Amino acid sequence: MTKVQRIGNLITAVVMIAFAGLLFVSPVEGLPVVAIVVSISFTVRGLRRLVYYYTMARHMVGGKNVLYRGIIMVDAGLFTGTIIDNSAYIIILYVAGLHLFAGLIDVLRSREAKAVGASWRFTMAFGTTDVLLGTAVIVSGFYMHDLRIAVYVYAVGLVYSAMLRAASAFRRTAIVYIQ
Amino acid sequence: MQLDFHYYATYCAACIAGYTPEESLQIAYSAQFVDCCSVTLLRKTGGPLSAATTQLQLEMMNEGSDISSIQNMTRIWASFHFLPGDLHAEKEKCGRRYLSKYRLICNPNSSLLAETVELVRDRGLPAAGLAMHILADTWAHRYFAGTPSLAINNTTRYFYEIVPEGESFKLRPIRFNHNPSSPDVPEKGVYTNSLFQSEENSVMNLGHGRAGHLPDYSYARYIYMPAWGEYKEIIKDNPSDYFHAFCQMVYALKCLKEGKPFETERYDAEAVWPYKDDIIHILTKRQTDACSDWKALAERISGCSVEDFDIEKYQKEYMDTDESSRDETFLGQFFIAAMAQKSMVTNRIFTSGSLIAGFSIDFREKGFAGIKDFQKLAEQSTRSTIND
Repeated sequence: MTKVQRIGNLITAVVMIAFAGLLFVSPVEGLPVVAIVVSISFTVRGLRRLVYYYTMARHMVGGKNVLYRGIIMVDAGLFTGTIIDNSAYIIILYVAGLHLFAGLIDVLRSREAKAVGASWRFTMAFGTTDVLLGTAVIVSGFYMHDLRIAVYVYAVGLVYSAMLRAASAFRRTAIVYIQ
Repeated sequence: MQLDFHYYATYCAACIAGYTPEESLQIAYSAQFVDCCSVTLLRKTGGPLSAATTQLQLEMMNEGSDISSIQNMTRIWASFHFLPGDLHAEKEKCGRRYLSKYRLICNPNSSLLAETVELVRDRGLPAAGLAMHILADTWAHRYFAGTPSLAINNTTRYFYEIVPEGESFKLRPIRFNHNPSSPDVPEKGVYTNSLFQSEENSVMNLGHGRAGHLPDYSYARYIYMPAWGEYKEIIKDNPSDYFHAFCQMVYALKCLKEGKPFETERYDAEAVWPYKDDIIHILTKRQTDACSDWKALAERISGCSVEDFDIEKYQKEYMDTDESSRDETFLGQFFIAAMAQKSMVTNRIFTSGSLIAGFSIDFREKGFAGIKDFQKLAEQSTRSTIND
């Protein structure tokens, strides 16, 4: 990792933690902000796809698909931006889906580790927690019509990602070469 | 390639190259262990995590698409399973980002292969076995890169198997499904491959995932269009490639045993000649697991029974040995050889101008820095300098 990438990771981590703090302080007001972030992230992803097409995928067999996907994603991002006032269900599904998927992967990983006799309890606990969080978001959002839990879970996820980013900025990554 | 070739065929090659059955078994064990030495296994045995030579499926799923994860995956897969064919390859009108991945496409007979074989000289049988795994995989995994890349490793629906029919061959379209638990059905031309993921750095786009296990089956012959190939089709003839791999292993093992320098594009077909028909028969037989056939041949060549591969075989020895002498054990030697290989390949990729495998710091110029596990290599180097 270059120094610029390390500094970039640190700055991103600080911004993410600050944003999560904001959501904890005022969760209801924070909901449209989450929607804006989701909208921006879709648009940015779409733009990144387009850059990817021009730098990599245009040399690839069937690369035109990437161009079309990029255009559709930019369009989806802009569309989400126009329905920010009515975006509660999109956010619930987005946040819950994220945690359920990550949880499922961790549970499967821990079973694989257990099968070869390696330590598995920590991963299993992590996966189970993620699944429970995802379920809590769905139950609170769809059945109790309370969006605060979705915002809190989203904020916790942000803090966790920020911590991982910050940790990776300090991780040793170079490999020594000995002739 | 799978257990059948990495374990039993490597055993046969070692015997033909003049090693005793006991030595051949150690070389074969090590060659197969490259497919087992994951971080999960290293955590269990207490080995250095940087010695990982493979990743379990869910370890890979757990990797992010951040630069550190991609570098870690590239170091493992490019060093041990997809040795780059030409780190200075050029392609017109391509940027640096594309070239950094294009240059990792695996191919046999590269200068890196020669360095790989020379690197294990005098490092013991576990190191020799490790090199044989890498050598064999350059033939099976050619045309794919050991880094996640949609632009390089993707395949299209244009995928046909060349199936023998009487004295001739016919083309049959291959149907891929994405359920990892469903077995391949060669009779019907149904195979499992990884799911299409449009993200460049998705693990689904690592190596030959998009071509399924076809590169791992010795009988397979197929036509397809690799993503990097400018719409030109490639014919992959596994029986021929696997036979070349076998003859090159015999040559390489003889070089290591007799102290001769290893040169690329050289095969010991003469030593293999008495067994050629048997080997071709096994390589062309339409079966997804050729272990029993290879085992029978291995026992015929060596004249003794060959035990089945047991992943646990050397773990207890390593775990029960005192920390100060662990590096002398079978697994200890394997781990050191793995880290030396990873260090060398990372350095070659780094000096080719790409950061895709991470930074490489030259110990002679700057002293020790970076991941602490590699301290073992530095200590070993210092010891051998003093002994010299």
